[in-house]
Amino acid sequence: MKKKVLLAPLDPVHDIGLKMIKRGLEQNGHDTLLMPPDYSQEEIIKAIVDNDVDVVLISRTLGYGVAEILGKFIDLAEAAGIRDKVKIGIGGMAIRPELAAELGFDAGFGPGTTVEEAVAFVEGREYVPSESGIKQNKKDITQGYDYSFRNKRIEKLLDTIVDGILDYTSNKTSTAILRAELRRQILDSTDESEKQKLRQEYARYCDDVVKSFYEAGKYREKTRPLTKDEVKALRGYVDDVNFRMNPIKLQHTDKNPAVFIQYGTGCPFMDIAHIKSCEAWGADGVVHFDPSWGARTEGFLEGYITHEEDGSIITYENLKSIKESLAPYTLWQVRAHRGLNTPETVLLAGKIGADLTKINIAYGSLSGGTDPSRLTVDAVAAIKYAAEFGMPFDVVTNEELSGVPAFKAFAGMLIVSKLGLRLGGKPILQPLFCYSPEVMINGQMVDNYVDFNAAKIYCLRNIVNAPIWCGAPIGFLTQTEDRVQSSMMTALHASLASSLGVDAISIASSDEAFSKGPITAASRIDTLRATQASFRFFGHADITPTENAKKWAAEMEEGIEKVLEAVAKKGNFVDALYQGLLGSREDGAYPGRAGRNTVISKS
Amino acid sequence: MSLTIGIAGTAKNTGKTTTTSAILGELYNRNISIGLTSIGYDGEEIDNITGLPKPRLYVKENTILAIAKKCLKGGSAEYEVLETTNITTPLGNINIVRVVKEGLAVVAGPNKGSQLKYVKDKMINELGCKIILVDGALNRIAPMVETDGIIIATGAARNTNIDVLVEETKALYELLNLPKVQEDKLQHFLHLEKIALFPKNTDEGIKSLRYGSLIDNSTVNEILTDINNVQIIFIPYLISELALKQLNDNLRGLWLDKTLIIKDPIKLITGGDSQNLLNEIKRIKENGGNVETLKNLPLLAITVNPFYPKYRFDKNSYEPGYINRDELLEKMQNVMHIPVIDIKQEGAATLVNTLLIKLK
Repeated sequence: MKKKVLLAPLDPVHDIGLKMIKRGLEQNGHDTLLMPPDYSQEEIIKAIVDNDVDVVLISRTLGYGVAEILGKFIDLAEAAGIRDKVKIGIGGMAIRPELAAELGFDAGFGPGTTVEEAVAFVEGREYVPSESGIKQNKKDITQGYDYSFRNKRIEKLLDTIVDGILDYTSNKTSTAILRAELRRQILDSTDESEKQKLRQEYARYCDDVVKSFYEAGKYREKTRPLTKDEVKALRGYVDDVNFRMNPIKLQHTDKNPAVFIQYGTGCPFMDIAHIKSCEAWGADGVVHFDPSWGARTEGFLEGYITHEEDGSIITYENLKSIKESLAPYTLWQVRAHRGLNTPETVLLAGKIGADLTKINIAYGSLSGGTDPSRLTVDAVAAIKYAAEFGMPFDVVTNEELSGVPAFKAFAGMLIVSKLGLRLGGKPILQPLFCYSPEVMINGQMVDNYVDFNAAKIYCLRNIVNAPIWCGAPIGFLTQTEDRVQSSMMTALHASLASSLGVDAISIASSDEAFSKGPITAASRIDTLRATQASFRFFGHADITPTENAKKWAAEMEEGIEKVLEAVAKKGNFVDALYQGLLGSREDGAYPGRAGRNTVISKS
Repeated sequence: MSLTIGIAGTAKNTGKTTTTSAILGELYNRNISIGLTSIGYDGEEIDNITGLPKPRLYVKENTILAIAKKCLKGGSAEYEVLETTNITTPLGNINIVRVVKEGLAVVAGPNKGSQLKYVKDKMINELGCKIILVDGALNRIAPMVETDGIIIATGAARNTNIDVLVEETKALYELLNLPKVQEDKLQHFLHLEKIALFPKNTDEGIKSLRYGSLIDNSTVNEILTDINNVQIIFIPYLISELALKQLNDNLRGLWLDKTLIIKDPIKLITGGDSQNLLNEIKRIKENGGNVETLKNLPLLAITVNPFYPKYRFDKNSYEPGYINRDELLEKMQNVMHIPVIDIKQEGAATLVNTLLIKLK
């Protein structure tokens, strides 16, 4: 039904929002009357009566004492006898529904209000946000990629190396693989006495600290189980937040990548609070960080467990509680790229319904502290689980942060990716997108941060048609203690990644490296908002690298090929890792020692 | 018998919610069935505007509340929804609920007088509430016309000058206590929606003007057209301070034996500054005229609050500030003939005694 709407800026100057709404209302067939700014409240009341309007929209920027002015306007409208006949809405900066209720208005329109929202209010119908403004579905990062190799020489070398890995691991197993199978049986069993027996067997394959948990109920130092009340309160908190949450969307165009954040405070409450904050401010995905000691300990604990230090303990219950707190559209990755529990981590993630995992033998064994032989054997089992549960996994190259040059890290990444493809998995390439030691020494970022990062993407694209997820986090080592500077760096890296057409990025908080303790939720919002603003700023416009990018991409590709040739020539991937072909001691990479000599021969 | 009490404030942070909270606590002590609602939004931990911490309402089992949908999960109290009404607010439809688990409540209720009446009637007639508390919002007072009486919370947040505060409150008291039209004459006015001029000569008809409110010059001129023959000027809706002054400036001695009748004091109070309005009322009387109201809105008590949010220009933020509490209380008590209470110091026992006398 056609409505008569009076739009009045109860403000000396500001009426831009009202003009936009006026146009929207007219396009929808309503009659509008826009009053000039700076009319008195009584004059507006008289205009409402004179024009017999149905709806009044007031705009006002909130400032000192303005709330009282707005409250008085509503009082005047009521005393003038028009309050029951006319709907009155208020819009302006700092206006929220709670404030509109306090002021006595029928609706409040704050920053970000769409014209459509105001039209819905005028027409007396519920506002249903358009699909472009809200999140609905999870993004499949691997969609549209066929993993065809453009560089056939590299593909051939990778196949040779993968043959060698599969041959090497075919008659080997580890306690981690045995534990993962036992864990599956424990989870699948419905018979409590059988579960107990399986737990006893599981404990045999664990380190003493985990064994004493299963045998004597002891918890590792700085960990404790959550009480029943705490678990209940956590669920209540999640319900409450979900009820109030109205998430924003970061992407401005379809081209913008999915944005991941990382959590792992050790405290389930804090983790979930951070996840919910990030979801509300538009994060598309979250990445689970486990404690570093967890990666060096054989076996997992059970139950809801909190941890006094960084890293959130992986147990079935802890992961399930995270999963249940997530919004249905949030992508969830559980990392299994390093450590002594890789197969079981992927199994748990798959069983609970994680969307993604993370596996990389080269990084895990050269910078993650795990023995190369052990991790190679475990990773094959882990990739098989990832394939079974249909979970894509990224192959992270954070060994660059230890000093390994990009071309060597990429060679390792491509080997594990090819291994993943052979085992039926869906690998995602994860190049670093930051200021790495390699460029600090060689000077590729003296002029700008664009070229070398772009070179990485060009190089990978020249080799294979695979999804790319820049990490981890982007802009790392370009941030400072200044949160504005840090947010800006994150946002610019995000837009560079978007300009290069990548599929996903992981971002840090603005205080990630400088928080001197747990990072704050506000600093997470800094970088999410900055990323959103940057996506909005660039839209479909691209960032153009200099000629160096292509030159360096070609050099990188050449370097990768040479490394792969050396590894293939060596005939054994594990030996190549030990001997530094994919990152040497001089580069800053050291073969890990955790789990050394623990590979079990099947024969 | 029931009583609906409005707790209105002269500004933000004058102590409305503290007063409501104290009364609530005292009523719980005396086992009286309570209905509670708000014409604004109460329950936020931090003030929507100043960012300072706010008092919150604690509700006990069986209290009846009228609150918007979004408030249902806002506090720690839990509710059984008795009715979802058609009353809409920015925070969703108003629900009439019963508290099933005590706790802190977020209370945003109906914000119009007509809606408040619906909720109030429901609470009294169907749900057996004896006392209904209506928490105010900011400086808003208009919907309070549906209550049986109001408590006004005032203090340093309104004005840090104690003498000004006392004078202003006294003016408010006098405006709220204007004499009532005789009961048998009420019927002549209740149905009128426009300003009506009643002639001296009862044979002539009542002249109905275009507007229901007196807020501009043209309406003043319309009244003046044939003023010599007018005995009663009835204004059913809003009267602005400026328009009333214009009317007075023109009429002066012509007020002799004429009566200005208003619907209720709210229609006057909302129109401007209380002291200025009272001065205009006095001018009418000095010129031989009368001012009466169809309905009264008794001022039951005054609570005073020495606290105010002090703005710090150097920090661009607010911090707590205080004026002299004893001086404020003493000066206010000297001129008012109703209880004046510092609720934070004295509690609500005296106040509730006053209310219960009214109830009986």
